[in-house]
Amino acid sequence: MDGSAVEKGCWARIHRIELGPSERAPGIPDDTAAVPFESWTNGWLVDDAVVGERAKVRTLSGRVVEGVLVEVSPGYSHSFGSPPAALQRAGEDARERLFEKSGR
Amino acid sequence: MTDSDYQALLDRRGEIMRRSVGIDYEQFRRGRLAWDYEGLMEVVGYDVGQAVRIQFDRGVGATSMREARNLTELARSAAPSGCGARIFIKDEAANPSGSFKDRRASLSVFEACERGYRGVIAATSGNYGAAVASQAARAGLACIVVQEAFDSRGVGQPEIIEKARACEEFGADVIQCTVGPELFYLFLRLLEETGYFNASLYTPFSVAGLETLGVELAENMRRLTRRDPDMVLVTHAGGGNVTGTARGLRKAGASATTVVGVAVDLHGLHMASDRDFNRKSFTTGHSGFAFPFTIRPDRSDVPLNAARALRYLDRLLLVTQGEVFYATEVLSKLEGMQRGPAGNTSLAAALALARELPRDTTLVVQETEYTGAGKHPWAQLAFARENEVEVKTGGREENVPGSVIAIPDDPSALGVSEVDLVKLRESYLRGALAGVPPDEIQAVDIEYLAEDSRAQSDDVLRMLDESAVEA
Repeated sequence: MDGSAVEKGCWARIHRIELGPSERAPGIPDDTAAVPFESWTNGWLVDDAVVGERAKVRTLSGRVVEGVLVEVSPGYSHSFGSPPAALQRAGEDARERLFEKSGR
Repeated sequence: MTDSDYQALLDRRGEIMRRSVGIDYEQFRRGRLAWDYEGLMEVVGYDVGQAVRIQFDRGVGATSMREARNLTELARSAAPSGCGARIFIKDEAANPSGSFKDRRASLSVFEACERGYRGVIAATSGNYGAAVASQAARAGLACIVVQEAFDSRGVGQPEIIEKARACEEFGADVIQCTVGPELFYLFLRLLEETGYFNASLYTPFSVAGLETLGVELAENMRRLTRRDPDMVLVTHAGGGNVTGTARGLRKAGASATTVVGVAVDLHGLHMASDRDFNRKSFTTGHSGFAFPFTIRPDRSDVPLNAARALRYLDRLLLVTQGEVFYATEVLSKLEGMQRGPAGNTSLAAALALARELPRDTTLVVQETEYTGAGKHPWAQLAFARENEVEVKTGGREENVPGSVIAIPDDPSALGVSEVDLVKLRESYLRGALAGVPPDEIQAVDIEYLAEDSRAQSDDVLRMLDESAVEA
């Protein structure tokens, strides 16, 4: 949460605006040209920091990168989702063709 | 402090590349357009047997080849009498980081060590990042992976997020960017700042790392069927998979084997569009990479791309996103193999082609890749729906990249679209000749362009005349 104090040494995520819309490469589609080119990097905070303010992290490869502290202990929440009916139908058809007809 | 301004950095790219790959590419230039391609490949400095030993020492390669008998039966259930080719699958997911990319990364990282670099950098959102990170971890090298990961809302493809997790697991820095070709700018800046090795997918090392796959699969098939495979299907994007596998097959003496590239059809989606970015369910192995890289291989991150698909492609086929999801589902349900989805692109084509070919024909699907959270058909189709893509049962013609994913519910609904390689050769030649004064083109250039595109010298001369008229 913005404004929270975070201790040095915590694993954290920083955000950087690498290029503003006016600095972007020529020839890219309009929707891309209208927004900045951004990046996110994880690392250990070099000093005590505040969420939403500038901070430096030391990355896994030992680089020190500065940006805006956006997250503490960034993890991963990607999942397996839920079963799509169209895919289940395909699987059922295949099993019936192979195994049910042959009585296995 | 060095000048990090975008254009200034791009202007220094030649020097940055030379230092970060350790290859003086200019020594291979032979004319205005001609290069000594085989000379470049010899930079590797060891033969395929030594490459096998380097990889074996790193737990890479020697993957199993299995006959997918149930998938063959599935194709036969929808085939005319006498048809239904035998499908074989090379289980590359068994490599340390879960894909054939370990073969490419192992030689890149080996080379970085041999040349005294302290770290490696790769620009990739795919399996290659995890492969480089895995090999770097084993070698004790620092590793940085730069990913195109998010749209401007900060929303990322689950498959790419999973790859970031894997890279971090192996101890690599992951720099996740928003959509756009400026990723190359960050990549160059990092190469310059760190002095690390550019573990590009397009160096001779990275391509030579895949020759072992071609050699191995020929040997596997000779053991299983006592002859060379009739057809090898290769998921095609940047060209390295096709190039390395085909070179390996040739080195193994499997000269009669047909090399078929397969890509997912994503026509209509712009690869640099912020909006389109999350409307596709495949982040590689698709037409958005396959076409540009086939036609203009040298628009890559090295001066001369060692991955040159037109030299090796006998056929190029497109399949739909829905068909690849279908292939992924039946691979799980009938063969008990949870793999892909992206790596099953060539499997989707194999299922369709098998129906048309005689029963004694052998088709090899030359890779699989690991499956996990995010990198899974349920996760990817749920994400597609969240991004306003309709997911339904339907035939291949109902697929509209970015709007509709139609999954067949029956093997007879699978198909392929044949890409006209003659047209691709013409596009390649037109692009190569564009902006070059015709009087600067020498015999060595004509010969090179013909060889590089598998065109006839007469075709090159005809295109040269056309470009002279246009100029």
